[in-house]
Amino acid sequence: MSHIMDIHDETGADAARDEADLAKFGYKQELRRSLGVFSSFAVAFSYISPSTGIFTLFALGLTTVGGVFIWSWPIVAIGQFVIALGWAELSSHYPVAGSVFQWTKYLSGKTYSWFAGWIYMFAGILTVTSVCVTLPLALIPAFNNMGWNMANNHSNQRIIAIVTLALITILNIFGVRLVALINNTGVLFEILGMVVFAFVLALFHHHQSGAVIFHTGGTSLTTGTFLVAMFMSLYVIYGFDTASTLAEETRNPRTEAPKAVLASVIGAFIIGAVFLFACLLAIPNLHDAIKNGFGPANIIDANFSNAFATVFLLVVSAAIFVCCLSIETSTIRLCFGMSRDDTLPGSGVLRKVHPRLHTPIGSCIAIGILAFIPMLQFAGAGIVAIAATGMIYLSYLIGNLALLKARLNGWPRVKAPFSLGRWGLPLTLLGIAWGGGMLVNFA
Amino acid sequence: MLWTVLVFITIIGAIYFLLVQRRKPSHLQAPEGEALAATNPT
Repeated sequence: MSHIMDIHDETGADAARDEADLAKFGYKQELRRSLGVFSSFAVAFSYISPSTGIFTLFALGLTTVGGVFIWSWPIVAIGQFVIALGWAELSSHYPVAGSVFQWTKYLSGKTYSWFAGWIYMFAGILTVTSVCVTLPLALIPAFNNMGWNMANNHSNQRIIAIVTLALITILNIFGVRLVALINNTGVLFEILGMVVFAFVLALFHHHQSGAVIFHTGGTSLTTGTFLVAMFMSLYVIYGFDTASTLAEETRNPRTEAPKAVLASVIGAFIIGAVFLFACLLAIPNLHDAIKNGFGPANIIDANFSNAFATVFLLVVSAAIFVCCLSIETSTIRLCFGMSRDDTLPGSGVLRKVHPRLHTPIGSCIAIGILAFIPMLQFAGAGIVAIAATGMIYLSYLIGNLALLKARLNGWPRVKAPFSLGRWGLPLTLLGIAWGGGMLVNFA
Repeated sequence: MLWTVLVFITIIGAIYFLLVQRRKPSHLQAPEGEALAATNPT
């Protein structure tokens, strides 16, 4: 099964080559190197998880500028793809755990990289929390459709979020192979589910014409309102550097990680665009949908039987679960990468890798506990999501500024399998303009 | 909310960095030509 899923330990000459490469960075091969390019793509794709963000924030976009909000999707995808190109090149040069922290460490220096890593780690922790508290928004209605009669209040949402957090932490402790197996399965279901629902909606339940993407539905379309509506797309398309931060567990990472970074953005863009367009086509009445804050669940509910709507909610729930799992996996690797350099409090415990499970158990538990803390003062998914997303964009900007400085100082000085060549500098400048602009938007 | 959280995390981090991390050496081992910070530290 795991071979079908592209998960098997690297052996022989390939293993020796990757171990020797890691040794050049002064690190031992302690994590389990068993992910192929699909697994690496899948973990980055599920961090992005188009169905999670679209499910949660479709209504925000729709109620703010009507069907026009769909245009934020390609705009954000292009902006983020520009950043992903830089990350792909960096991951080809630095195939070690810790993405932004490691890149800035080698490119810019100790103080800068420490703050980059510190902010990015807490951004990751808040993102784990924000997605865990999103799961009940899909799962409780699914349970209720099956006759459970569970109140959709903060108390029940918090209980489900805490159980989810505990489960993903345990799965992460038990190793990357198990995480990848669950994650790859979840990603296949997510892609299949979104495509199937999109085609069924578009082919058999299209109440709107294709021109719905130009209709505001009576809302006020200004630059300001469009930027607000853009938050859905901004919340979805990040986390693609996960493929890079799992480099020490990826076979031939200098070649495969860059491919996975870029493929995750492209894949999420295509799947998300198809699904968003289908959802807009299937809105029975645009004005009513805007007035009542319709999300994908309402649109599916309005077109299908209860059973079909329940299946949709379960697919989304599975997607959100693997999204939580991969975000925590990524954040654990950053915590491990920083503690291995003795840069975090309790580094001795955080960097210790279990000899049989090949996972940094201390980092797993620490990230689980830190992600639990915001749940104590739970005020809804939206507030945590805004803080988490803003901090991720800030971390990316910090990374890009270090990359710009390095490029001006002649980086890259050695060849790597993935290179942007002379496009590196303009693309980095473009990435900074994009990331800075979006950060202002968050503020 | 974003700025409150960010400022809080940064202040905690800054205190820890100044008290503990500032004097520790950085791990900069890398293949030749890859550790730019070793030649241009900030």
